[in-house]
Amino acid sequence: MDIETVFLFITFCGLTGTFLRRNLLNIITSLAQIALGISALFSHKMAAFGNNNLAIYLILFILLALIFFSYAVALLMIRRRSTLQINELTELRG
Amino acid sequence: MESIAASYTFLLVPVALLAFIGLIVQKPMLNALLLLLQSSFIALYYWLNKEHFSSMAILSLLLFIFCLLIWTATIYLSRTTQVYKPTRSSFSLILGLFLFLLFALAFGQLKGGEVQSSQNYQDFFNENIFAIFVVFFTILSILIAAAALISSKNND
Repeated sequence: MDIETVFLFITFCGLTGTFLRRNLLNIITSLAQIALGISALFSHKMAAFGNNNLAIYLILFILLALIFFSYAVALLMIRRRSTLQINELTELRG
Repeated sequence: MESIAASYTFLLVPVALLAFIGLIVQKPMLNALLLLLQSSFIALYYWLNKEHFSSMAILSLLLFIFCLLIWTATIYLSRTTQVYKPTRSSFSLILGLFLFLLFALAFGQLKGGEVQSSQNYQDFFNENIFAIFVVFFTILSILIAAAALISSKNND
């Protein structure tokens, strides 16, 4: 099996999961999976060219910042609405 | 070098399988665990592809897998039986053990290479990027699992 295909597959699974999931925690996990796939793919590419790993650091930093932000939003949602299901969160509480 | 790299490609098959299972399964805690396993498999692949691979790294990896099993068993017990309920202290104990083993793992990987005095900062990071990967993603998945625990407690 080709290594790049595996990393692309991981990224694809994460992307599909981001669209399909209805729970905020699952969406965060999918984002983490995208980060894992993309950064591993880039590091593999960069190692083949003998280049430095600046692109991985950039991707890791941006995606981890995004994931930590959404994690903070999830914790806030647990405290305020006591649920993380997207269907329930979109409903109005009168 | 190419033949060695080709011989360990089978380690990436479970990674693809775990990613696919994670896509189907809708449990956040299990997803976090699957992500953890994926990153550890990728790290294992890159460690095995290195020319020098110390026994310390193997030992710490085994400890890491053992700790994973304990963690899974704890979560399984807390989910299935009503008798055992993990308190906050027991969860933090497991978390602490986890982090300790992670740093042991990262340390083992750092010591795995031949330490050279002329090694500069950039080279050090480039060689140990996968140890940093594993530490990052494990902490992340623990955080997600903790949030899943809190949310399940609130829902009950």
